[in-house]
Amino acid sequence: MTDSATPGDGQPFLPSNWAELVPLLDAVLDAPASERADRIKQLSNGEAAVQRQLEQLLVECEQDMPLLNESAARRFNDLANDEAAEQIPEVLVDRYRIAKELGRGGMSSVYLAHDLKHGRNVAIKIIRSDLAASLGHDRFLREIEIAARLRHPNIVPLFDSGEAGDKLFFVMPYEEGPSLRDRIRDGGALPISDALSVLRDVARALAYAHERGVVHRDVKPDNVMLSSGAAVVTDFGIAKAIAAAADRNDSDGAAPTGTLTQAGTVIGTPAYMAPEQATGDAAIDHRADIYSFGCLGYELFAGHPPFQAQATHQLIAAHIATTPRPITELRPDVPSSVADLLARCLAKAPGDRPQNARDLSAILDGATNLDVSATRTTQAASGRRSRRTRIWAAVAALSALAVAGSYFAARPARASDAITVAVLPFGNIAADSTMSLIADGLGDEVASALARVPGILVKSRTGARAYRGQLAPDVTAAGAKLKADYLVTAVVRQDRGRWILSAALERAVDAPSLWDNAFVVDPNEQGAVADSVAGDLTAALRRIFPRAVGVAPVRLPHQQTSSSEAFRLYVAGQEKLARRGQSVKEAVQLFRRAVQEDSLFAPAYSGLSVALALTPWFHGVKPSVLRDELVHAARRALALDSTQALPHVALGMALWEAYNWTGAETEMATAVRLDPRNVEARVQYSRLLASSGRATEALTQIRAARALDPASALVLSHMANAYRINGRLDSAVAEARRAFETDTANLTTLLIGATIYLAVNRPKEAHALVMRLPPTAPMVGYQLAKSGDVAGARQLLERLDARPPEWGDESRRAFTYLGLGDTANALAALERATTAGELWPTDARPTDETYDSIRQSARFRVLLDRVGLGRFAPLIVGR
Amino acid sequence: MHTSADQSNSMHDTRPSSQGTLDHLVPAVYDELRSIARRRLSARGPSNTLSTTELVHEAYLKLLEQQQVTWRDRTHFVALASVVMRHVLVDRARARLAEKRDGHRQRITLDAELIAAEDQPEAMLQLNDAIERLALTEPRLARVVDCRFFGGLTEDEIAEALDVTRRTVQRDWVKARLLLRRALSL
Repeated sequence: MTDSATPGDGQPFLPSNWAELVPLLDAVLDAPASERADRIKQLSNGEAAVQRQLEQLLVECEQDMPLLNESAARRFNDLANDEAAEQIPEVLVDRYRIAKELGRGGMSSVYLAHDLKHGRNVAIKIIRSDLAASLGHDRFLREIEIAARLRHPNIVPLFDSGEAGDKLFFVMPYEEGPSLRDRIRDGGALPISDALSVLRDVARALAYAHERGVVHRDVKPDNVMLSSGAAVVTDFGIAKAIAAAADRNDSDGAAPTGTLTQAGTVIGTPAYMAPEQATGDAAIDHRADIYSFGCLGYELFAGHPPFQAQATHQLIAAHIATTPRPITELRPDVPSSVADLLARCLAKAPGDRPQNARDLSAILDGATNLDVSATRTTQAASGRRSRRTRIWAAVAALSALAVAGSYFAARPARASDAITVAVLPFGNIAADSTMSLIADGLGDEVASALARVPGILVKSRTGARAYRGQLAPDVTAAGAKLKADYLVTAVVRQDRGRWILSAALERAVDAPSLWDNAFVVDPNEQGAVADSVAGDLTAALRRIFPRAVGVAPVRLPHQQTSSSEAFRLYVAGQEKLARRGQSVKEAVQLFRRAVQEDSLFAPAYSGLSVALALTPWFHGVKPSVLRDELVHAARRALALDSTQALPHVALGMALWEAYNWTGAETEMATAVRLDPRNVEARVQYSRLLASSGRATEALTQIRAARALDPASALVLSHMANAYRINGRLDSAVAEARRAFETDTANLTTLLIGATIYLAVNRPKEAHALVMRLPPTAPMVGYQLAKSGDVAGARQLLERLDARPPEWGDESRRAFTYLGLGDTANALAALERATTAGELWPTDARPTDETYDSIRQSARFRVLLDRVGLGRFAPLIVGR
Repeated sequence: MHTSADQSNSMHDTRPSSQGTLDHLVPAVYDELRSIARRRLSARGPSNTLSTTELVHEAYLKLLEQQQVTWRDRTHFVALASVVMRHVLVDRARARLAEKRDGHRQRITLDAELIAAEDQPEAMLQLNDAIERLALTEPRLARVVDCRFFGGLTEDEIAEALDVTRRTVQRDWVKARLLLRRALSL
């Protein structure tokens, strides 16, 4: 043996009888460690040489090779990573995949990374090593922990923080930006309405955090991100944590001085620093943030902060002693209330400033209205003004369009380039005067629904009320008055006993109608009507401004748990659930753990019930196995919060999976009634209706979902399918294409796309889509065969035979046989599928042409009876 | 994977067996992967353990768009990508050596867990030589090393890519390590 182990280039490193030894060695390796010696004796069968060789090989096999214990990318990190980046702490490397360094600031390096556990992009900030060395790590982490509890739509949350060796880091969501700093650098001062919108958001964030005892200490444009329609403040509490951790180090009591060279003592940015902060006053509080807010506001309107000096000491001196130039001298159109507010924020003494950020919010919220009334007065005073206003409006609209054009090239949308929309009070031309109240209510609902959409700024509602009762307002004048580029007008009328709402979207500058639509108003379902109007409007605006208009934020459940761990698990579960596919199983695990953490946390039970209901579709698990847990979770969720829609969706799906169509429908209808805005409820209701042969109603439900979320590939795909089963094939193709443009990888999109291409007799396109599906997707066999790939379909049957049986396989076989025209095998497989409780009537609707070849068969009628669709049999069979 | 026998009956049999298709495409696939790998490696930090998966994904999708591969090829693809990862690192090692020492090589010992940055080019070339030698006699063992060490794949993924059982992958890894140690005189 040793003879052949001679090392060195070009020399053999295998024993000459290696080929004979390998099977023996494999057998030895298969034995448990304790039995290997015996196994060798047994295998070598008295041949001492073989026994020796095997013993030697086994010794070597059990030796480690440290080089190979880590991936090549780590072992050869220097080669793998051509550009030398700062060393990332090991502990982070396990959890995050670092994509790139985003930048280096005075205090930290920022990396874009992918959070492997939660499947999201994050920004990891690592405190500069020299700074970290001077900090008390425990104190820092304690302080940052307080900031980590903040949860507010205008605050970038902290996901994680910690120390890794000598490094301190924290992790937050990756906000693509741009930052407010980028915005000012690229475009200078902001338009008044944009600036006000940003200031309102920042004020809200400050108010929320201050009320929870967290101060920022470094409010500046660099720390405000413009993210999908809103301004969000980042790095909350970090500067404070650093300052606190540094103070602890200064335990000798030496008073911190005003020199900024002592990093960690005076933290902040000179141009935005309150006088007391700049002088290192240990007693600074939230009012320092209010001063910085004043500096930031000043910059938004002026294009530069109140003091501009090169040297830090000059800046500090100015903060202490110089009164800034009034903002109205630089920007006369700043509303006077706002100019006053900024001046007060910039007061030298903390006691002279607004004492809390709530006051800022209140004044800013009022600012738009004042603004409008001021405009109205001047217009009344000067008749010639209106023409100028009109020209300005035209310029504004044109620049809005130009901005919209540039969005195609430069993502993402900027908050401050929001589309401005005013909703004029809805008119009532019906005879019934009570309808006026409903019309008013609807107008308000539509405005609030629109206001939730990032990228759309709904202008003053108070100002708009002036137009009440005007059935044909002058849109151009109204747009100018309300400072809105777009106007929504609507009238309610009565038509053959129904209330009809006709709404229109018009561009203020030249009043062309960009969109109009009519809606039937159910006075008991105002919310749903308003949502359809708003959804349609949003979609229309998104068509005009594809990048500027975002998707309405998912409404997070109220924080119904005091356990941060339960909440974290819940959020992670939601993310997995939304991804569908193989992630559904992980969602189940996460929700299970969330309810273990907090057994009173209703949304987690709710999520668990839906995740369990979706599991059979994605994991080949028989629904009956999960039913008890599903029903328990749903009941528990409803016991804790009976207003939730999702538990009803889950219960509905469970009944549906048991072929109880009427029971399922009752639950789905309840879900939609409880939360007409719930997209999941609408989608599942629509699917249920489609599966049970009720094409028109399916279309109605999915249309409501589409109005709520027109950017979802899942929704668009089901919309396409609803068109298909209603025989509207052109619309189906168009929707399917739209879905595909939204997401080229969504399974549902591919599956429905293939079905539709087959329906319009385009087998080649259908085949291309099928080839992108995993072979286990329900209809793949049928679609392969129907698109001409008979071999592919047969191969799938073999594949199914070769693997361990899974729930759903009989349906897959049945569909494949149907595609191949083998009706006998198809019926037999369908019968087995029905016995196994598989969901074949859902995968292909009983009215689909899929079943045409067996439609006349008595066996098929029996099957329809067995799955509870017997009442549709006459309709179907008579097709 | 299925045999190609039944595919020859296909109505419009534009693609030969999946293995055949991929083999036919190898130069194109290889170039594609290589260029993506270079780009990806230079764009990220030192923790690119999972980049093979992404690399495969990106290249695969690209070729899928060109309708040159089918889903049946995917698993082979993964194994191929791992080999490419090794080759990219070898390319770099050669380039560095050429810069620094006019290509002159000094033998170093690869018994440590960590290899100093300046030794990495040489170490990579030695390891590469050893893997190439291994591939001459035990090609599958060499593929397992590529998949696991260079590709960062799990045992299950390797088993699927090489169409063997997980247990075989485990045994192969142990044997490959043994033979590599011998080849490297460790």
